[in-house]
Amino acid sequence: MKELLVLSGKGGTGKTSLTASFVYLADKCIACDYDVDAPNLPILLKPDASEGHEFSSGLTADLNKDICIDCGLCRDICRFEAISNEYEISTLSCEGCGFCAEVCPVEAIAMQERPSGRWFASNSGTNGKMIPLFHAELRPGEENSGKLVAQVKSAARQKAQEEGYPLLISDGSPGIGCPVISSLVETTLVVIVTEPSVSGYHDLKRVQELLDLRGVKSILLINKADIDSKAAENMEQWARENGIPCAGKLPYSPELAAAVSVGEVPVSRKELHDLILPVWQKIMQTMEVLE
Amino acid sequence: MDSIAICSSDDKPTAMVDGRFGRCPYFMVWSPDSSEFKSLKNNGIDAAHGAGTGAAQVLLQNKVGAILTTRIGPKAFQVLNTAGIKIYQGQENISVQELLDKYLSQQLQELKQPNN
Amino acid sequence: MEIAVASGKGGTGKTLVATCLARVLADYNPVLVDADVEEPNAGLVISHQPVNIRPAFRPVPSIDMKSCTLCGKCAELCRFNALVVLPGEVMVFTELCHSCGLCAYICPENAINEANHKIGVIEESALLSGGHLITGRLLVGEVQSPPLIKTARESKRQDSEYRVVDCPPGTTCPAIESIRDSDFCLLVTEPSLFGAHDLELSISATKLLGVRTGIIINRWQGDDGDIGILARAEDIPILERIPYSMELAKSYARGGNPLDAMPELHGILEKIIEEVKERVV
Repeated sequence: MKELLVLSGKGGTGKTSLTASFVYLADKCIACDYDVDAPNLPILLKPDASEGHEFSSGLTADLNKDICIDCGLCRDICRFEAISNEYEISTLSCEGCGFCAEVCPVEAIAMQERPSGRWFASNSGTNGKMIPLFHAELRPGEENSGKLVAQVKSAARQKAQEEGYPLLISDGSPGIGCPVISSLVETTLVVIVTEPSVSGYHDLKRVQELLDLRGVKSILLINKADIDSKAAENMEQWARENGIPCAGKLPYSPELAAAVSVGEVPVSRKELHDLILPVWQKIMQTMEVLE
Repeated sequence: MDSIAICSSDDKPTAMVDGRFGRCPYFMVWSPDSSEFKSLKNNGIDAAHGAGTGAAQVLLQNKVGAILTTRIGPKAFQVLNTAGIKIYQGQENISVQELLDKYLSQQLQELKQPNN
Repeated sequence: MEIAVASGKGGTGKTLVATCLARVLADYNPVLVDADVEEPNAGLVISHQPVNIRPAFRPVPSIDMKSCTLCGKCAELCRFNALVVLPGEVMVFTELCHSCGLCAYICPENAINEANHKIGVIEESALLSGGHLITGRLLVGEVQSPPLIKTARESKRQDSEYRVVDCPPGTTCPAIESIRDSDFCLLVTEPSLFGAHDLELSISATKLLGVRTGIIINRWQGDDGDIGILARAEDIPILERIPYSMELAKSYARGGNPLDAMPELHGILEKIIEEVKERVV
C-alpha cells in the first residue's frame, strides 16, 4: 500500500482542490483529510452519512471548589495560567499535565478525559466509484491535532489493508508543525503544491527542509504559475538543483475557482480534466518506483 | 530465557496480533518458565502523547526480554534498544499464539531499526 | 490596542491585511507581530531594516545522574510520557515534553533541573514605513509552536499603542495562543464554500476566547454569499470587503506593496481601524 500526501506549507495554494482531483482520477484509492483544524475535502467529495467516532485527547483538570482550601499552590505552579484567582480552570489554557492535581494538599483536583473532536469513516460516490473517505473535526480551541491525524491515518490504513486498496491520497495541513509531522508517518510521496509568490517560495523551502529531515520523498506542483512566470521558473530551477522532480505547472484558473465555489471536484469539468491529467500521470510515474 | 511480549488486539492468546506497538490494546506476555501467557493492558492506547515511550516503560517494568511487533516508532525503539530488549519483526492477520510459534521456531527477523 | 488578524482557512489574506494595517498605522509607531511561526511571511511582504535575532527557548528536564536513584517517579507522573526510566539511565524525549515542570518539582532527590531547549528565534526589526516587526520563526522539525508564539507576543509589549498580530491559520492551539487576550480579532475570509466553512469554525473559537470579532471578506466579487448568512446567524459584523483584483494578486506575489497596486485599499483599512476602535472603546 502506498500513500500520497499533499502539502503546501502556505495555505490557500490549492491543496484541497487538487487532492480531490487526484482522488477522482485514481483507479482505486482511499481519501483522507488530515487538516483536522479546517477539513475541506468532504466539501468537494460529499460523503454519505458518516460513521462518527468520539475522540478524546489528553486530560484536563477539574477542580472541586467544595474541597478547595484556597491555598493557591495550584495557581502558583501552573505554567499555563489555566487557574484563575477564583479557581476557575480554563480548559483552553490547561495542557493536562496534572501538576496541579499532584500538588493539591486536599486532593481537590482530578484529571478528566477531554473530548476534543470526532473522526469519521464514510463513502464518497465520486466519478462513478465508491471511494472510502476518512476525515476528522477537532473542536475549536482544542490541542493536539497530531494524535487525531494519527487516528485518521491508522483507520484509513487498516481499511486499505483489509480490503486491498493499493493507494491512500491524503490532504495535509498547512504549516510544518505537529499535525504535518504526524501526517508524514509511512507516507510514500509528498506532493508540494506551491504558488510562485515570495511567501509560497519561502514556505515551500521550509516544508522541503522538514521532508529532508524526516527522509520523505517529494514532487513539486506549481499552481497559479502564471501569476509570476519568472518566479515559477525559478522554483523549477530550485527543484532541479535539489533533485526534486516537478509534476508540472498549472495556470491560475477562474474555471477551477468556479468549480470549487459550487462544490464540484475540478477535474469533473473537461477543461480542468485535460489540464490536471498530465500532472497526475507524472505523479503516478514518480510513485511507481518508490517503495 | 526472558519473557516475550506480543502486541495484541485482545487479552487472550487466540486474539489477532495488533500491528501497532504504542497503540495496541494489550501486550500478551509469554513466560518460557511456565509456558503461559499473562496480559498487560497498554495504557498508551489512550495517551495523547508518547504512546510508544509509555508502552516501552510498561514493558521495562515487567522485565520483558523480547518484543514481537509489526511496526515500532523511533522513540520506543531507542528505549528498548538501549535497555537491551530485542525487537522482532512480527506479522499481522495471525493470532498471538501463531506469532509466538513462529518466533519459537526462529522464523522471525530481528528488527535493527524503527519502521514507523 | 492589540488586533489579531486570523482565519480558519490558510491563504485568505491574513498577512496582506496585517501588513497593510501596519502601514496605515505607520504614524502611531505600530508593532506588527508575525505569530505564524511555522511559516512566517509578513517580513517577506513589508520592508524592514536588518534584523536583530535572538534565540527562544522552552524549559525541558535535565537529569543529574549523580543524584538520580532511578526511582521512576518522574516517568510515572509525566502525562506526556516524555521520560523513560531504564535500568541504568533516564531518557528524556524533549519532543514530547510540554515544559510543565512537574518532574523537576516532584523528584525526591532533586535530581531534575530544567535546561533551555531552543525552539526557534525571535527576529526584531524596524519597519521602513514606521514601527516594528517581531517575527517568531520555529525551528524546522520542532513540534510545539505555542511557547514560541507566546514569546513573540510578549516582545515589545510596552512600545506602542497599536499592535497587530498576524496569526497562524486554523482554530486549534497555535491559533488560540495567537488570538487570546487580544482586544479585537479580524477574521479574514474569502467568498467560497471553503472560506465560509472555516470561518464558522473560527467564529466558534473567538467566541470561546471571548474576543470581540469582525469579518473582512477578501477577494470580494459583489456578493457576500454564504458568509453574509453566517455573519447574520452568528451576529458577527462584516466590517469591510476587499475587492477581487488579479493585479493585486500578481503584485503581492512579488512582494509588492498592495497599497500601490490597489490605492482604494488605504481607505478600506482606515475604515477597518475606525470600526475596530469603535467596538473596543
